[in-house]
Amino acid sequence: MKILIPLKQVPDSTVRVSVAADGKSIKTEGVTWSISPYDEYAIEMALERKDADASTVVAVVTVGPARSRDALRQALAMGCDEASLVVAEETAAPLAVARALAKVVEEAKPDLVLCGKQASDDDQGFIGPALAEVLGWAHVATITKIVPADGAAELWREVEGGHEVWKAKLPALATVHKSEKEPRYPSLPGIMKAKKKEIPERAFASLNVDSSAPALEIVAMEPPPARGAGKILKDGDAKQTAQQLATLLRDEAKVL
Amino acid sequence: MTAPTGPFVPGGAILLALAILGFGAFFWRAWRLYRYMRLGRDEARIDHPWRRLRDELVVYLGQRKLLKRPYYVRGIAHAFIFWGFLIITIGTIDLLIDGIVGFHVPGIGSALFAWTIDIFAVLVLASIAVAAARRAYFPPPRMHVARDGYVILGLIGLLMVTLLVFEGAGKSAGLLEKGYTAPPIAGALLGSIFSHDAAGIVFPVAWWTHVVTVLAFAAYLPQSKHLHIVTTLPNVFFRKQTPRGQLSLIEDIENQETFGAASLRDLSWKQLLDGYTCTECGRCSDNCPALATGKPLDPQRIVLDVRDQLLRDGPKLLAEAKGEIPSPAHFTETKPEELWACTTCAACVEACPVTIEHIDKIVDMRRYLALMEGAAPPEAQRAMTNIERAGNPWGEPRETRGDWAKELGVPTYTEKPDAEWLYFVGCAASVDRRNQKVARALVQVLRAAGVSFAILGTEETCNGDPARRIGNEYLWQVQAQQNIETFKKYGVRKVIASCPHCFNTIANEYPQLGGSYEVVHALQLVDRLIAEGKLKVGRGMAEAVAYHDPCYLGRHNGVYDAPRAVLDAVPGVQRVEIEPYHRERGFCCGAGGGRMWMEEKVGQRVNHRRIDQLLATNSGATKVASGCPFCLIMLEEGVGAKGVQEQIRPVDVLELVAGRLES
Amino acid sequence: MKILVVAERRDGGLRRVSLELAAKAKALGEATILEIAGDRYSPLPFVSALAKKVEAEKPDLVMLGATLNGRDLGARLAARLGRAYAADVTALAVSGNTLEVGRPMYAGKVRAKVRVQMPAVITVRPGAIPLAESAASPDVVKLEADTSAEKLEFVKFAPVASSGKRVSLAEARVIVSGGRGLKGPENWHLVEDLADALGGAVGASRAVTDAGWRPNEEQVGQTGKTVTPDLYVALGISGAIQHLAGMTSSKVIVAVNKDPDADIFKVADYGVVADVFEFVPAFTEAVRKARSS
Repeated sequence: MKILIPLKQVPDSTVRVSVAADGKSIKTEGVTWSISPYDEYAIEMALERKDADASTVVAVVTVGPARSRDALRQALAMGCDEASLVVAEETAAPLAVARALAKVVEEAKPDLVLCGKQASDDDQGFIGPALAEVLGWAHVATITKIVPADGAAELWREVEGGHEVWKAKLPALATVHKSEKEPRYPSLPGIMKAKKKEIPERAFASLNVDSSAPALEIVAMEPPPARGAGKILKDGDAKQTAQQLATLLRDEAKVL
Repeated sequence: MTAPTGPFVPGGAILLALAILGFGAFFWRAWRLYRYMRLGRDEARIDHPWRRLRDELVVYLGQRKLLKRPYYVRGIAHAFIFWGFLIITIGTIDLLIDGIVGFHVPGIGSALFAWTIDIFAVLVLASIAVAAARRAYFPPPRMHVARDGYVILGLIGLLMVTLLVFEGAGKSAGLLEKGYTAPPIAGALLGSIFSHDAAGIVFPVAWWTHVVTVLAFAAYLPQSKHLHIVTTLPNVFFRKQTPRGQLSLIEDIENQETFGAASLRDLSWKQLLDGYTCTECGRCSDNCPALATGKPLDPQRIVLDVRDQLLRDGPKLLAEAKGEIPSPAHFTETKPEELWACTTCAACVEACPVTIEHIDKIVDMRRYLALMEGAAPPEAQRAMTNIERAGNPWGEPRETRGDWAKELGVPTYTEKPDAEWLYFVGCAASVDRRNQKVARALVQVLRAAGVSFAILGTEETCNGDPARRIGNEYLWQVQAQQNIETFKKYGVRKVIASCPHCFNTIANEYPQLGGSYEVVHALQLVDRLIAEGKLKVGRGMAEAVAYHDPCYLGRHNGVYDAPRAVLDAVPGVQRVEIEPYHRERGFCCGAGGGRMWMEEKVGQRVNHRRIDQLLATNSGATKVASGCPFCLIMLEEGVGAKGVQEQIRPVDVLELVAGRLES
Repeated sequence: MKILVVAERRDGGLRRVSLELAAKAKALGEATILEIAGDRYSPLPFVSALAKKVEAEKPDLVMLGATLNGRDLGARLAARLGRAYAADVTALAVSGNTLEVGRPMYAGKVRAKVRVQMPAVITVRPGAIPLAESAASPDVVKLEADTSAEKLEFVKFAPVASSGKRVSLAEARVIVSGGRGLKGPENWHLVEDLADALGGAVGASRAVTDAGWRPNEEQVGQTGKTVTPDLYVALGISGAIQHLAGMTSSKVIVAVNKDPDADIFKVADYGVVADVFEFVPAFTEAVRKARSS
C-alpha cells in the first residue's frame, strides 16, 4: 500500500504566537516551525501501517515556502520513505493548493491520502475535503484508525459516543483526528538519513493548475484578550459565589 | 618455615608439577576471560595515572569503599580476610619458591612477618566464622547466597587451619628452618598438642594439604565470583577518573552509524571487566531507590546479566570474525522497563566496594533504545520534543523564559555585558511557578551580597541533562552547543546554577564540548559569601529544618557540606538529618535521569518513600530544605500525597536565607 | 441578501447552533433553513444534494454549524462550488457585498478579522451568536440526501465501552478535572455532576490517577493528555507544573481550591477560594439553572 500525506509546516504548538507590526500577520522572527500536529498524527498513523506491513510506502508532500523543507525532513526522520516539495507563496489560494496537491496525487498514485484534519495555522480544515473533491474521491473525515481490507480500508471515525466505521474502496482520502500512539520520536540514524536524502522540488507554477480561486483576505489580527490577573472570588457564601461565577461564565466569558 | 624436601628432589618435582597444574588452570581460564573481555569496544582509561595508583592504595589495599555505613561489621570482617589473604599469599609464594628452587623471599624469617602472618591467620579464621554465620543465619536481603561463597570461605579457612597446623606441628617436630622466627601463635597454641613423633607425620600432611589447597584455590578462583580478588586490582585502576556526573561523549556523533549498547560488543572492555569484578554483595541493590520502591530495576542484576551473558556467549562470539556476523548477544535479560526505572542517583555507584559503574551501562543501553530505536517511553519522548522545540522539557513557550525576572529588573547579558557571573536559571526555575520563587530568592541574596550577575533570558535554553540521561546524546549535544555558543558570545567565564542538574552538566560535561567555566552551585556561593562576611543573615523564627541531599549535588559532586553550612549559618534554624538516609546515603527524590517527565506506575513512588523516611525520623522538622528544583517539585508532591503539607513544608535553602536577610 | 442555513438535528430537536444560525440569517436577510435527511451524515450524498440546491437557489451565503459534520460538509461544498470558505467563525458582519468574519487562528492564539468574498460558505462556532430567549423555532425545508452519489459503505457503529455518554477529553469543549482536594474516589460524583451540567468531559490530576482513584486515560498534564478546551474547571487541584503543562492553553480556566496561595490561581481566569465540598454542589446547581434559562 502506498500512503501519501500532504503536510503543512506551522509555528510549533509551544510558540507564543504574536501579531506582527502590520497588524494582520504573525511575527515569524525566531519562530520554531514544526509539522502541523494533526499532520503528525497522520504520519504516525501511516507509519503504524508500515510497522504492520513493511511493504507499505509512506510519502509526504507539501505546498509551501522553501522553509517547509525542514518539515519534510522531520517526516523523513520519523520514517517516511519519500518527500517532495512544491514551492509556493504562502498566500496561494486554498483551492489552488488543493488542485496542486491533486496533481501530485495523480502522479504518485497512492492508495490512500491522509491529511491532518486541519492545519494549526489557519485552522480551516479545508484542504482535506477539497483535495478529495478535486480528485473526485470519497473521503472520511476525522478518523482515528485504519484497518486495511482487501482493496479497501475500514476507516474509523470518532463521533460522540463511539466510532462510525466506514469502508472505502481504494484509492480514498481521510482526514486524521488522532493516531493510536503519540507521533514517534525519530531515531538518530533516521535523522541523519533524512539530512542526506534528496528532496525533489518544483515550482507551484510548473504544475499548471488553475489558480483562480476565491481568496480570504485577513484584514486584522489581534491576540486574544490577555489573561490578566484572574478574578478571585472568596469569602462569600457558597451559593452566592456559585451564582456569581455561573453568571460571569455565561455573560462575561461566554462559555456556558 | 621450610619445605620438607630440598630443591629438585622428587618432592620438589611434584610441587612443580602441582604448581604448573594449579597456575596453568588459572592462567588458561584467565586468558579466556581476558579474550572475552576484549570483545568489548575500546575505551581509554589511563588518564590521571597517579590518582589511579592512589586509588589502588586506598580502595584496593585500604578497602576504603567497604568500610561504610551501614556495613561496618561485614566491612571489617572482609578487610581482615583480604589483608590476611594477601599476607599469607606472600608466605605461600615463599613456600612454593623455596620448595621448587630452594630460595627464600627476603625478610620472610623475621619476627615481624612471623607475628603478622599468625595474627592474620587467626583474624581471618574469626572473620570467616562471622561471614559464614552471616550467610547461614542472617543473609542480607539482596545478597546472592550461593554455594560458591561457602566453597571459598571453606578454602580460605582450610588454608588458615593447615597453615597454623603445619606451623605448630613443624615447631614441635623441630622441622622448621633454622634462623627463622618460630611461629608465635601457632607454636603456642598447637606446638604442644602433637607429640614429637605425631608432629613428624602431621607436619608434611598439613603442609601438603596447605599447598594443594593454594593451588586448587588458584585453579578454582577464575571460575567463581571470587575472581574479584584479582579483578578488583585492574577494576580499581581503570575506574572512571573523570567526574562521576560526567557521562561518556559520543564523538563525531553525526557520522556514527550505531549508538549505545545493544550487544556485548557495544559495551566497553571496562564495562565487561565490571562484570568479572562483581562480588554479588548486593550493596548496589540495597541502596537503589527504584528497587526499594518495587520497580523492576535491580542494578546488581544488570551487572551480573552482562557477566553471565559474556561467559555464556563469549566462546561463540570469539569464534566469529569480528563484525562479520551480527552479534547474537542482545540484552534479552535486561528489559527496557528496568533501564527506564533508573533515576541515575548513583546510590549504586557510591555503594559498590569494587568501583563498578552501573549508570554508564544503563545509559549506554538507554542510548541504544533512544537513538537507534526511538523507543523511549512516550512521556520521555514528549519531554525531548519539548526540549527540542521549546527549549524546556515542559513545553512552556520559549518566549516566556525570562518573564519571572522582569518585574525584579534582573538584567540580561545584553543589558549588562560586564556582569561577573552568569546566573544560569534553568528550565524549572524559569517556567515552574514554585521554583520561580527560588530564583527570586537567589536574586535577593545575590543583590544583598553585592554580586555582579546577569541572566540570558530567552537566549538560555535547556542544558540538555534530561535528554542525555534519557539516552538522547544527540539532543544533549545540540542543547549544550547552543548554550556554549551563547556563553561565548557574551564572554561568560563564571556560572552560578541553582539547579544541581544544570550545575553538573555545565561543570562536568560542557568541557567535553570545549566549554570550560568556573561553575558553582548557588549554595556553594552563598556559603562562601557568608564565610567572607559579605552576606549577613539575621534571626528568624526558631525551627527545625531537615536537609535532603540532591543526588547531583551530593553523590555526583560531593557537595554535602556547603548546603549544611548555609543552613547552620541561619540563626534560628536547627538542622536535622534524615537518619540514616543522608549524605552519601541520601535517598533520591525520584526525578533524576529524566524520570521527572515519566510515569511512575509500578510500586510506591520514590518521592513518597522519601517522605516516609522523613516522617519516620520524628525529628520535629517543620520544613524540609533542598537545593534542587526537581527535588522541590517531588517533595511538594510527596507531602501533598501524604497529606502532611500542614506539618512539613518543602523549601529551598535559598528561600530560608532570603527570608532572613539583614538589610 | 439570500442566506441558506444548513441545520442539524440531535435527539429529535434542532441543535442549538442551528437555531442560532437561523436567527442570525433572518436578521441578515432572506433566509432558508434547510435540513438534509439521510440515515447518517456522509459527505458525498450530502454535498451532492446540497450543491444542487445551492446552484438552483444561488444564496449569497451558506451557513453551517462548526460541528464535526458541519465543518466537513462546508469545506467540501465550498470546494465543489468554488466558493470562498471560512471555518469556525465566531463573529460576522455584512456590509454591501462584503462579509467580514472573526475567527480564531493558530489554535486560538490569534483572533483574525477576515474579509470573505461572497458568494461564500461559512461554518459558525456553536455559541458564537447570541440567541434570544424568545426565538421561535424556524420553518425547516427538508432535502433528501443524494444516495446515488455515495461511494462509501457504512459498516457499523462501535460505541465507546467505558466512558459512557460523556465526550472524550481530546474532543471536549469543556473539561472538569478533579485533584487531590477531592479527598477520595468516593467524592468523584461532584466532578461528574458538574461535568454533566456543563456538557463536558471529566479529567484528573496525576496525583489522582497515581493514587488509582481514576483511570490513567483521564489524566491531564505533562505525562497525561494535553488539552485545550474552551472551558477548563480545576477542582481541588493545586497546580503543579506537571498539571499546568497540560491545560494552560485552555481558553477559560476556572479554579476552585481552598488554599489561596495555590499556583492554579495564577493561571485561572476565575478563581474561587472555597471548600470544594461546599462550593461545587452549589455551582453545579447554578450552572444547570444558567444553561436551562
